[in-house]
Formats: sequence, structure tokens, C-alpha cells
Amino acid sequence: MSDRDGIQGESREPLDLLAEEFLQRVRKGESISARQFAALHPAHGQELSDLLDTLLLLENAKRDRETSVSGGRRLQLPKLERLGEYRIVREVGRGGMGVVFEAVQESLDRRVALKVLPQASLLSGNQLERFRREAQTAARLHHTHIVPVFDSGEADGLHFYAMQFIDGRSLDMVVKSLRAEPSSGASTVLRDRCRLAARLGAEVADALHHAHQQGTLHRDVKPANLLLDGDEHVWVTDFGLAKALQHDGLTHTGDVLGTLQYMAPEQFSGHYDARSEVYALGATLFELIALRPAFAAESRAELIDRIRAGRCERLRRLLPTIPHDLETIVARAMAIEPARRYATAAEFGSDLRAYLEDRPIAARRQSGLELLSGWCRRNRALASAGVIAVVATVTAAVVGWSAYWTTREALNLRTASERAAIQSQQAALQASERDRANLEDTLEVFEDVFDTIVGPDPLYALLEDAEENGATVTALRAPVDTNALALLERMLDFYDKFAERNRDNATLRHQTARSYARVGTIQERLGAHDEAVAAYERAATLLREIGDPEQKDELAALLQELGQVQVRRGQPRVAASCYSQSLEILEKGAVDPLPKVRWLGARAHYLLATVPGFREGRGELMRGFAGGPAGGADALPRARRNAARERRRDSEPSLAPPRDPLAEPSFAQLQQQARGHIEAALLTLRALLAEDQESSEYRFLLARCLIEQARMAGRAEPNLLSASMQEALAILKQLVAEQPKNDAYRFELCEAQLPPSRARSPGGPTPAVLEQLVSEARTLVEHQPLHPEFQALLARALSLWGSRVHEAESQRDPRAGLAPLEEALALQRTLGTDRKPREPRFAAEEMQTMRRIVRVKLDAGDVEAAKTTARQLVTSLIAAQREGGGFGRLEDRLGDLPQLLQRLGLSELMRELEEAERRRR
Amino acid sequence: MARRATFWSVSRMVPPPCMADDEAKLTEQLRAGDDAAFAPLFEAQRDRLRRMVQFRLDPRLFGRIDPEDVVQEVYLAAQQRLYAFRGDQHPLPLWLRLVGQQTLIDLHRRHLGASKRSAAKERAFANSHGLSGFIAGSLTSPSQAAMRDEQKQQLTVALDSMDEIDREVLTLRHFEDLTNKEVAELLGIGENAASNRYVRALTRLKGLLGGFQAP
Repeated sequence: MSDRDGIQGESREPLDLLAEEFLQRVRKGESISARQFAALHPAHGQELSDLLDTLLLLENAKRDRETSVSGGRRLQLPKLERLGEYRIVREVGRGGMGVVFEAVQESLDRRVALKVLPQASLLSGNQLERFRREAQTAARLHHTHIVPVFDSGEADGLHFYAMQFIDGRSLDMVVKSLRAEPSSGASTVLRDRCRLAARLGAEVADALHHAHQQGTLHRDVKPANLLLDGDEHVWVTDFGLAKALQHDGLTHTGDVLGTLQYMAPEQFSGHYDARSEVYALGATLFELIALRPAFAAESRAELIDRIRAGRCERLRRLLPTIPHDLETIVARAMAIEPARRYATAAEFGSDLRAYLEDRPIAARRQSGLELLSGWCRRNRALASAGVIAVVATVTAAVVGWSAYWTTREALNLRTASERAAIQSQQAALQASERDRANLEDTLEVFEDVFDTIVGPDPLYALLEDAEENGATVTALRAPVDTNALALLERMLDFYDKFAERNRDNATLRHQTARSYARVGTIQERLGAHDEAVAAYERAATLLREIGDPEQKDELAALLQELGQVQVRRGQPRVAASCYSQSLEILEKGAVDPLPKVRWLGARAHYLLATVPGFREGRGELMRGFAGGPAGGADALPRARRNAARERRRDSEPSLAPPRDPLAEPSFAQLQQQARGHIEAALLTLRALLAEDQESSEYRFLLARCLIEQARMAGRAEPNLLSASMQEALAILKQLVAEQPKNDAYRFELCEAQLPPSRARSPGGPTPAVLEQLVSEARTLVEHQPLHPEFQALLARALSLWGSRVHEAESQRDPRAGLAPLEEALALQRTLGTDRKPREPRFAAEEMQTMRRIVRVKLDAGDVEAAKTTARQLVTSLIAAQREGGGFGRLEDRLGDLPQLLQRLGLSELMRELEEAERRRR
Repeated sequence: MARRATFWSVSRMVPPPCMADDEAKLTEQLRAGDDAAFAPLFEAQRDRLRRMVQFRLDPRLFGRIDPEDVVQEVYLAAQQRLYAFRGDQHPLPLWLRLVGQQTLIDLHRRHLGASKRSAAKERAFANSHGLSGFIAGSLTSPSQAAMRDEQKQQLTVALDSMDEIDREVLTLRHFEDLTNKEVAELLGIGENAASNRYVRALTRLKGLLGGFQAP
């Protein structure tokens, strides 16, 4: 290498020249030690010898790298044409253990895979012995999923063994090619891949279990050692070879980095048993499902750290639609502590089969508390004091970290005196560096806990992938059970402190905004709507201040969450303004917006159209809103413009007549705006679906928009009503069929078939259909007994059913339908009362049931009871009016109440009601 | 075919005869506009380019990307930009190395995304920060890895704590097998200075490693 300039000694350091000479000799393969070489140049003495040692260290590092990157380059084999009785056909691959050839065993004329090890001279006698022994053991394993070993031996100084030739690919190649497919993220593709992974996993688990029972461990379970043949039959290969060849540099090749990925944490401390193979198979399945390794690390050291701490990527985060059971199974197999894994490969396999056959699985998901306690175990110093102490400690770490930043910033100041003052804080600063690392871990763990208790953070879930948003579109908020409640409050404390401490810290701003958003979500779950609004608004302010265009969809999504809380607080106008702002942000600037941005846009339109009071055209609710800068006045033209853009058409003339922007929107105008929004949402969604037909998210939102459209169409446009409703129901049924366990889809399917409670609804479903809906709703409630939405659905179904039954059968039995009505009322009395103020819709539904009960009791001749209920009802109605609840026109809300009151001789109550309504206006 | 041959070549075999004279003549032809001279000249540089790729490739891409393929890409990129070489002061090996660097940057961007993170990586690339990943990412067998871990760790830490320029000199000389002259040219310093730097860097590294002995 230096022939070209090595001679120009006068311009070079003598030590440099000597070093170069030495290096060349070493590279040529001369066996000369640093000491020997240095001895030849006594003038430089010990200095040279030391330098050369350092140089050798670098040289070793380089060699390792070359072999690790290029794999097998050092396996030098002369070109082979035959080996013993085997005629070599071609080389099929190189791995850690040698070179694999396709060959023909001439005596039997059978095709074999011949694995040839490096020259025997490189193997020690012990190793050879071990290799022979392992080959024999492997040859004794007979299993449909283990590659049979036929023969092993030595020829021409090369050691080899022959096994059945499997015409196929190893799973690492399968993963590689799947990853290259553009549709690898689509949901059906994922579903198929999950099933494939589970099936292969179960079969491999069987094979491993078989070997384990014979007392043989594979010792190197990984995708590269699992072969998939043309019939999709999976084969485990290379049993025990890793052990036979370990030590002395024989497994020196590139796939070791791969192997590390699948090593169980306990292996690093020298333990290895069958459960380590359960782990390795789990990690393999992870990769097959996610198409990426379980651990992402940039260096070996980091990789080992992550494995030991169990900090793998979360499957659900990578693939939001992964079946829960499968995720759970993989997580169990990959538990850090062997005791928490499946005890045997057979158990692992049988759980995978349970998933495949849709039976309940044995593994349980880790609860938030378990996650926390897992974290405690990993941080033993903190663990003894319990969960609360952990949170306190974590909070302290946050505080400490903030101090660190302050110190750091202070250090940037110039003057010497300031610096001197700060020097005493240096030690604290170093400690803070540790805190920072801890904090990162902690934030991660808390995110996990948060996700587990609250469900995926709606805000960030929907940002990561539109696929993820199933539950977030709906009003379906999982209820918080009392155990989790305490933990949530602690977490709130954490996020709150974090956000508060770091509010002015530029570096942490984004993290802080997220924390505020989480505080908002938790507060909302805790029923503290006002606090939730405050937190969301702070998050929004921060995100606006950051002003990062990449985070604008985050802001848009946040505003949509905020709007939904405002609706719950009975502030539809504010909610509408949030949605409009969200829409405005999403529309700004994006020439060719990403699917998720378009999806968010569709969602904003949908939310706008469904703001309570909008559809009913209750003008005064929208007062002041119409003319605002981000107001709804131009919503329709804008919606139409968007619609036009989705159609890739030139803008069409607005259908709305020009009008005074400050004028109060009329009933008809509001309705028209709502329709415009739905139209825009539908167009966007249909365009999105044209790009990805599989997405359950797009389909779900589409169904909801269609239901809304049908309801708006109402009786005025029966054709649109039935067409949209039919399409919506078909989509929902399909979704339920695809994901029978998804309660959100079942809920929506029931919901769609129940006419909205707020409107008078003649016609509608028959008693038979309603009975069916009641039973569906009961199933949902049994599933999640505490879920208020499910209870509300059941109550509404019961109430309507009771009313219809009464209409149909009151001639025969005047008390018909009373039982379901009373059950409904009992449920409705408690619904929503845990939050102040109570959401108006709950009160509205309760009153509707009361009205129906009045009617039944009256028909049954129980006049006094009817009067009592009627009085209660009127009192509630007047109270609701005072609070501004009860949307829509009075006559809509009252239904047949005036007639009922007349029949009861309580007409004065009617006058009171009308008086109250006048006062309100 | 050439690839195959290198694959099977044994270190004791004599490298393909590529005489310095030939090289000079071919380079002259290439500069004069004879594109046909490029292939044999590139062949002579192939191993070094591969080493550079091996060293600079992000560890996250191990197993996904074959360095040999990257070298092939460098070949194509260089071939298309021969006009640029003709207007360039650098000798061919260094020019090829620059093309190789750019190819790697593009590759990293493509595979690892153009996030802020990878922008940082690219900067790191330029000053051989990848060294830590390189050493730490270089693996032997799992069991050996554990034994060597400490040694690696020390080397990594030591290299990380060095001056950028010291680190770069060691990198170029040891991991990319550049000659002193080439290093000098690349860093824009005199040969004497480069040689000084090298010995000084080596001495410092030795110091940082303390009494640690090579195996």
C-alpha cells in the first residue's frame, strides 16, 4: 500500500514508517509480535512496542468489522467441485457456520444440502469432537419441522454434514422480501401476516419442544435458521451447531449481529435453557409480524442494554391494528424474566394455536400496574417504596432534570464571575445527566402505562397512523376503573409537574405540550372537564408558540379533542370554533396533503356537522359564531370547495345565495352547512378509500358520516335516507365481521339502527328489531359493565322498545312495555350524574323515557302514578331549559306530552313549560 | 466475474497485477477522455472502497445492505460523473472516495430517512464519528463478544474522547488503508504534518487506553 510514497522517509516520522512496516508484515500474515519487531529497533525502545500494541488493537477492530459486515469473507474455501461422495451443484449460501452447497449424494442419488465448515486446521480437537457429537445429536431428532441430518464427516480436510435439501428461503429472507412490498402495511396484508407468523411460530414451537424433550437445545433460534419451503412448510435447521462451534472465533461472521437480536436477556449472564428459546422464537415472530427487529439500536452496546432492560419496540405502536391476543402472546414469550414466559415451547405453541382458532389465550396482557412494577424491578433501588414512591421519585428526577437545564444554560453565560458561581453546581449537573437518562426511560414507561390505562392516547395515536383511530372517532371513552383511577391521578401529578417545570424550556417544549395534552386526556377521563379544557388549551398554546409546521396536524388533532370536551361541557359553539380552527390549520398550505391530514380534515368536517344544535338548526346556539374569522359562515362554500378539490374539478359556483355575513344563520342555512360538511367529509373519505380500501379507519368514519347524512335527510328525502343508511349498515356489519371483538363497531352498528333520541321518530324499527338491538346492547354492557355509552345505548334501546311494544299491544295489555321502560329509567337516572354539570343528552334521554312511562301508566288507568311522573318530568324539563340544555324545537322535545298533560288534567303544567321557554328566549 | 474472483481469492494469493505504471498511464488516458480506462482503474480501488463502505455504513443497515452492492453503486455513480473527475484536482483514488462518501450519504438518507436524526448522522459521518458505532458494532460470536466487550468498550471510549482530527487520521490510516500521502491530501495538510499527526494520535490513543495490552 505504501509502495507509492513510503520511501520518502525524510517527510515522515520515523515511528510512522516503522509502524507502517510492521502493519504490512502483519497484514501479509507474518507471525511477528510487537515485541519482536520492537526489539529489532532498539532505538525506540518501549515506546515503539506500546504503540504497536495499540495499532494491533485497531487492526483487530477492523478485521472484526470486515467479517461482521460482509459475512463469511474469511471463510476461505478452494473452489469445490466435489467432496467425498457428494457432487457439488452450486453454492446456496454462507452463514456463520460455513458455506452451504446444494449437492448430490451420488451413492443414493439424492439431493442434499451440504454444510461445509472452514478448514479443519482452524478447528481444535475439542471443537471437532463437539461438532461430531452435536451432528449426531441433531441426526437423532426426527420431527416434521426439523431438517433431517443424514450424515457428517470429513473429506479433503474439510468437515461437513449433509442434510435434507430444503428448496425454499430462510425466514430472514422472507422478512426482507415482505418488507420490500409496498402494501406491507395494509390491514388485510397484516392480518394474513399475523396468521402466517402464528402458524409458523406454533410449528417451530412444536419442533423445539420435541428437541427439548430429547434434551437438545437449538441454541441459535433466529429467522435465518428457519426455512420456509415452497409448500409453506417450515423447517428448523442447524440444531446445536452454535454450541458446537462457539469459542475460538468460528462463529465470527456477520449474522452474529442478527443473532444478538434474538438472544434472551439471561444469556448475557450465562443462563440458557428452553425458555431462552421461547424468547428467541418470540423475537423471531416479532420480526416476522412487524417486519423489523424487536430492538432498534445503533450500537452493539446499546442493543445489549435494550435487550437486558426489555426495551423493545412496542408491537402495537408499530402496528396499531395488530390483534390484541397475538401481541400479548409475543410479549409473554419475550418477557424479560424467564419465569414470566411460557414455561415450555409447547405452551407457547398452544397459545398461538388458540389465537389462530380464535379461542381464549392463556397469556394475559400486562396491566399498567404490572408494567409499573416491572419498571420497579428494573430499578430496584426505587422499588421498595412502592408505586407512589416511584412516582414521587420520578417527579423528583424531572425536577432535577429541569435544574440541569437551568445549570446548563447558565454555563453558557460568558462572565468569569458567573462561571465561578456556577462551578459548585457542576457536580449536581453530572448527577442530572443521569437523571436525564432516567427521565427518558421514565417517560417511555409512563407512556406505556398511560396507553394501557387510558387506551392509546387519542391525540398521538391518530397522528401516528390513521389506522389507529378506531376508538377515537367515537364518543366511546373507555371508563376508568377505580384501581386505575388512583394511578391516573398520580400520573396526572407527574405530567402536570413536568409540564409546569418545563414550560419555558425551549428544548422541552414539545415534550411539555404533549404532557399538557396528556393531562387533558386524564382530566377528561377523571370527569374534570374544566381542567381538561385548561390543559388542552395550554398544550395548544405551546404548540402554536413552537410553530413547527410539522406539528401543525398535532395541533389540529388537539383542537378536535378540545372540541369534544367542549361538547361534553355543553359548549357546542366553542366546540364548533375549535373544529373550524382545526380545519383551517389542516387546509392551510398543503398542496398535496398526506392521507392522515386529509383524514383529520374529514374528521373535522364530521365533527362540525355533528355539533349538537347544528343539525337541529338551533340558530341561537350559533350566534356570534357565524361571523367569526374561523366561523362557520363560510363553512359551506369552503366545504364545497374542498369537495370540489377532492373531485379534482374546478370550483363550482356556490349554491348559497350571497348574504350578510353578520346575519344570524337561519335554520335552513345551518342545516345546509352541516350537509356541506358531511358532503366534504364523504368525498375526502371516498378518495382516501380509493387509495386504501382496507383501512378500517376510513371505512368506520365513512359509515358514521353516512349515518349522519341519512339522519339529516330524514323523511324529506327517503331515498337518500335509505341509501346512505344501507351503505352505512353494510360497512359496519363488515367491520364487525372482520373484528368481532371490537366493541366500537358493534356499538356503532346498534346505534345506527336506533333513531336519535332527540327527534320525534315515527315509523322506525319494529319491536322485533328493537328486541334484537336490546339483546345486542346487553351483550356490550356485559362486556364492559361500567361503560356509560354502552349503558346509555341499552337504556335507549329498552326505552324505545318498551314504547313500541306498548303502541302495538296496549289494546290487549294496557301495561305492555312498562317493564323495559322502567329498566331503562333506572339506568338513565344514574347515567352521567358522576360529572357536573351533567351532560344534557343524558337528561334528555331520561325525560323521554319518563314521558313514555306517563303514557303507559295513563293507558293502564294508573292516573295518580302518571301524574306524579308527569310532574317530575315537567320539573326536569324546566330545569333543563334553565341550564340551556335540551336542543331542538320545544315541540320536538315534548313529543306527545301536551296531549298527555291534557288527558291528565294538568294543562297548567303545559302553561308553565311554555312560560319557561319564553323566558329563556 | 471480477466480483466472483475477489470473493474466492485467498489472502495468500498474489493480488491482480495492477502496476503503478499502468495506473499512471490509464489515469492519464482517463483524464484525456478515454472512458474505457475507468473500469480497470476502478477495479484497483475496489477493495479500499469496500473497506470505506464497511466502516462508514450505519450499523442499522447491517444485514440489509451488502457493502459490495454499495461499491457497485459507487462505480455507476462515478462512471456517470467522469466529466467531473476531469475537472477535479484530486487523484483518482481520492476522487472515488469522495464519490463513495456521497453515495453513502444518499444511501443513509434513503434508508434511514431524512430526519433530523440522520442529518446529525451525516455530520457525524463527515468527521468519522461513526467510529464508535464501528467498533461497538463489530461483533464476533456472542460468547466472545462478552469477553471482548471490555476491550472494545475501552477502545470506543478512547476514540470518542479524541480530537476529531486525530480520530480521522487514525480512521483513514487504519480502517480505510489510506497512505500517509493520501491522508495529507484529503485533509489538506503537508505529508510531514500528516505523519506527525498520525504518530501523535497513535501515542494519544495509547495513553488513553492506559496500560491496556493488546491480546
